[in-house]
Amino acid sequence: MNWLSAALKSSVGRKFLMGITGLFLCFFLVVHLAGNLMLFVGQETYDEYAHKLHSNAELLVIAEILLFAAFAVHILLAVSLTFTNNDARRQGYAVQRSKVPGRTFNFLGMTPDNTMVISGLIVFLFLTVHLSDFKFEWAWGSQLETLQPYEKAQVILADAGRVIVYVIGSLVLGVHVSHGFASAFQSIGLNHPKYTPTIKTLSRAFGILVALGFGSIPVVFPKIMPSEAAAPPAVHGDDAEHAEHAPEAVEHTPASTESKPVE
Amino acid sequence: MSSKTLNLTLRVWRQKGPQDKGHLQTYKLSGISTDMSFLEMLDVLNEELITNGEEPVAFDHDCREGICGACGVMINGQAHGPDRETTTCQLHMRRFRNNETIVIEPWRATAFPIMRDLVVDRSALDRVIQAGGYVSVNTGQAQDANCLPVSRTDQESSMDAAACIGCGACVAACKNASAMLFTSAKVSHLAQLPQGGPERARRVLKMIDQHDHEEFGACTNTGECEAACPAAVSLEHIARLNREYAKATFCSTEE
Repeated sequence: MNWLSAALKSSVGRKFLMGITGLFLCFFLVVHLAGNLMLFVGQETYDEYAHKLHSNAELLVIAEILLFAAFAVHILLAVSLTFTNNDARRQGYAVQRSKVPGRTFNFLGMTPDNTMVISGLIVFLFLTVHLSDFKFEWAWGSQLETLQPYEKAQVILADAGRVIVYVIGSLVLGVHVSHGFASAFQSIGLNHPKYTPTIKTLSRAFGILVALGFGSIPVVFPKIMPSEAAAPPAVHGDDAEHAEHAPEAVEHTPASTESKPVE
Repeated sequence: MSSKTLNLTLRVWRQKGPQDKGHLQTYKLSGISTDMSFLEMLDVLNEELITNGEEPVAFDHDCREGICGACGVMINGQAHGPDRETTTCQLHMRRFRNNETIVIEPWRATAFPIMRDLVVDRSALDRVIQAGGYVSVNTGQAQDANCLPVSRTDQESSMDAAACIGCGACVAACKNASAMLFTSAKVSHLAQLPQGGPERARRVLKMIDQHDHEEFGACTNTGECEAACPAAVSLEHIARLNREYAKATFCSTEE
């Protein structure tokens, strides 16, 4: 197995794995976004989707293990590649300028492709907050326990701090995948005049879709919440006395969701 | 085309030897003709320095017609200066404005130690080629023309890769100081010709192994190398290298 460990240690091999795991995570993003956007359809649709997803316990475990493995490999390789790349130039230039014509998304001299480590790190921090909210429900005490998935989203996204974190996370994730998607194909050896221009266009579109798709949820969703459900902000971070109100407020929601001006 | 003259401020990297710390030194030049090449401008600077009893600025150069790959410096942060598909020797002073400040630095990479001023040791690239960038099978006598059919597209694509002059601009321009464009040029050149066939798996594995051993970085697909390359070697060759590497890893008996 010398050949395999040599390949996994090499620069090309690590980038290859980076591409494979990146594409898998992009696929996950599409599925995740499609599911999340059901929040806009209504509580019943979203809750039904969430319950169906969680009813396949065995499949879910496999999917979660795969996802966790992909994230772990992607992140560990990023760290290892960053060390390799930093060592490759210990003394920088006094002046450095790009020769690539027509760079898009140039922000203060930064472009998505030369800030993948920074955007990746921000996405990672966002991910820890996101998982601690929706998966492990840390920092919310017992107040999410009895709630339906839709109501959990209502409670969490009623918090202004969370809205900011989720918007920034979504936008940076969009920037990250806008380069990452196309770059992954190059890393696994797929670059051809026939399809590469299309992949590059798709990659930008995908970045915009991810940024706007996920970013729209924390911005728009709290606004279309039924007025009775607006109570949860007071609940956040409070004691059990307030927490009791949460299910109460929730009981009103199904009725009002139907009259909600969504479409 | 009328010739003008320029007054310039140069900020040149001066470093006495590999161990020296080095610094940017400012020089004033006046009366530089816009018809001069960039290296001729440096020649004028060196004439003045010698006249004043100072050490001239060391820089690599040879053919001065853009085909040898010996010259190459960072000019205002761009490898080989602002022009595309142009080596430093083919860059002309008409590309600069009067009273402009020009920052001149050597290629910077761990794999390219600075020997003196603007001269770096690029033998790491030679060692990458020595690791497998050749055809060692005995091909016998020269064959009759067209005995080995090679399609026109493969010939052209192979020749595009072979255009690499080994100047190291790709390494210099890359944020990771990766020599992937250089390595891919040789791998892609030989992978598309029948002569390169028998050794293609061993070649790509050995060359990448040497590339990593020399402490070049990994490819981040920013395309800076392609934009800086005086021979217009394209990123497609890096993709072919990646493909060759995957094939060699999974489909060959080479280790």
